[in-house]
Amino acid sequence: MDTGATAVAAAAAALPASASAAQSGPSTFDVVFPLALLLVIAAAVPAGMLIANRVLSGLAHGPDTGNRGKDQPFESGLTSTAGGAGERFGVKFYLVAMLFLVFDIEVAVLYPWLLAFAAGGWSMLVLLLAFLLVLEVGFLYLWRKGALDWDR
Amino acid sequence: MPHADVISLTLPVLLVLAGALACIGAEPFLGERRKHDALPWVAAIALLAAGAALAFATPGHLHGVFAMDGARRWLGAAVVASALVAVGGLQQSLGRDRFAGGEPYGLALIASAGALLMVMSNDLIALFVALETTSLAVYCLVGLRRQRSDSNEALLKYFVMGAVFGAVFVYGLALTYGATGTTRLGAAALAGREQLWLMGQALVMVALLFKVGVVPFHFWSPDAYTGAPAAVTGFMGAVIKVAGFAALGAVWLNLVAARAGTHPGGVLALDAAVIVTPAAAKGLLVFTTLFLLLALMSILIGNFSALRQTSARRLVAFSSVAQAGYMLLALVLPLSSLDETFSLGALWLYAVGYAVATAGAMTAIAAMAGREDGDDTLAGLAGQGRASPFHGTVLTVFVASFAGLPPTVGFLGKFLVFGDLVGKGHVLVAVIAMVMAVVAAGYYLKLLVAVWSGQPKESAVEGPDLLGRWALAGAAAVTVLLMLCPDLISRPVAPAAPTAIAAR
Repeated sequence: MDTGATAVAAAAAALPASASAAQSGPSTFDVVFPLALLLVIAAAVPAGMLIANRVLSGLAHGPDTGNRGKDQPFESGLTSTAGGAGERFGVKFYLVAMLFLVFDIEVAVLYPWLLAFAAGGWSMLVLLLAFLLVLEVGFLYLWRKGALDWDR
Repeated sequence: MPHADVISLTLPVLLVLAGALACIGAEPFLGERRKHDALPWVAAIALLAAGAALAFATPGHLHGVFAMDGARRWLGAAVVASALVAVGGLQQSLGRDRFAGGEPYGLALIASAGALLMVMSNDLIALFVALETTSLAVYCLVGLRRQRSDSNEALLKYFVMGAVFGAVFVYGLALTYGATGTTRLGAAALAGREQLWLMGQALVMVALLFKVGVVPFHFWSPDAYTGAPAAVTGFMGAVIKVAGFAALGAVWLNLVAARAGTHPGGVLALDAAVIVTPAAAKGLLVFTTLFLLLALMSILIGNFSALRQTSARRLVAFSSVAQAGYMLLALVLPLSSLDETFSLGALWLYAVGYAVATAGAMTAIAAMAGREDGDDTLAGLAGQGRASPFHGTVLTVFVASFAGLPPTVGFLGKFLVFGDLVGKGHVLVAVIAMVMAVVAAGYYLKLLVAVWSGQPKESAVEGPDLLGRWALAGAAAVTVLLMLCPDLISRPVAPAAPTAIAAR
């Protein structure tokens, strides 16, 4: 990431040379200043939030005493309803969410296809069948693999 | 370049994708032992059919989004050939390891289809979709051995970094669109948006430089190459590199032509020579400088790191970083301020030769490294060349091509790249690159010495390797034969041709 940013910065630093070649166009200042401003704001906003949080909590509760209870995750005023953030869920949930895409995409394409079918004629059928073939091969695969079997 | 027939242009990709569908659809219906017997042959037939379709594809473009021309045909052929070799290697090594699942063949075909589309792309959005198609399938292939921690580490590193650089690509795409008003390659910036344009193009090229593993974007490659099964290492090393450089070359050639105002308009053939004006060479000086710097760093870091490796996969990984540096040298613009023609013939020849040799070398190493590629160290491979002369011989041919020794296409690639470099006035860089090629010969020889010397013991080659042997023999033949007819790939279309300077 750092290296990518360096390369970009190097490209940006060399821009004046091409600017003189282009004659017209914004000056380097016009290009770099908004960018620099954006960077400053991007750093200042989160930093300001952190500082405000610390100052305000200091005003309300006195100096931070490292209360263990304060570090607990909480939800709707209750602490530790669902355990820590590191708790593991069964991979089945993610699997089902992903498999849903197969049917989701099918519906998402079938409905607009139906509207276009009236105008497009029977050659649209070939397109639909090609699309369904790709989708159903995936469906066939996950069905045979037992991915739809919740109790496995 | 004329409009092409939809079917003629897309048939190679469609055939590869049909093979992928057949492989994935049939996979769960086959018994555990049958998968590695049947599926690779399905994949091989699909790839052979795609190769034939590619040979007969008519040059032309599809609404300026995808295009086919002489250079693209060769690059596509390199993708198909590398995939064919890798499918043979996968069959041999996965069959040997009793790998539970036949999905790798389908995934390899999907990645190949994506790589073919990358080669054919003339539009940044099409290029991005093709790039992601290739990448996603290759991520799965890298993590095949999911019980092993090094495989998981490789997968996570490669995936996270790949996703980040995917975002960099899209950012560059967005800036380019903002500057030119189109996502097609070869459009010049609108009035006053020159700098935005160059920035967008720079980001796009940075993302592609990551994909091909140029220093300083190379840090993922040693781990990804080592964590993946050796046959997959060959596949990704070959296919991603050739497709990545095809895309990088297409972006760069179009950028040069558009910046110089010598773009013919429409789709630029990749084997075309474009005219570089002094103003364009000056305006793009920062790119040329960066290419030179990154190429030299890749060559130095890659070669010196490879000298110290003991794992064959890691050695090939660092050698591929250095090879990416050599290929990057072909993109450098001439120093001279006179009107010069610029073409990428040397890069195409180098990339095609390198892809075939990489897929072949890693497939041979996978065969000789034994169960789970456990013996891929130089000590573990000792004597395997004598125990299995066929694999030892083809490996020698491929490694000779890496090193740039004369009877192979690798020699010609290096010769053309260095010759071009001297012709462009970068004599010092060419000298350094040549010296480093000699350094590189050190570790290539170390690998060959390890394979051929040592006590001849029992051959580690086992598993179904009929397809692998034919593919390896074919790849070795190609590596030698391309040396004999270089003009097929590297000769640029004459700059005087009206296609190159029509809009000057």
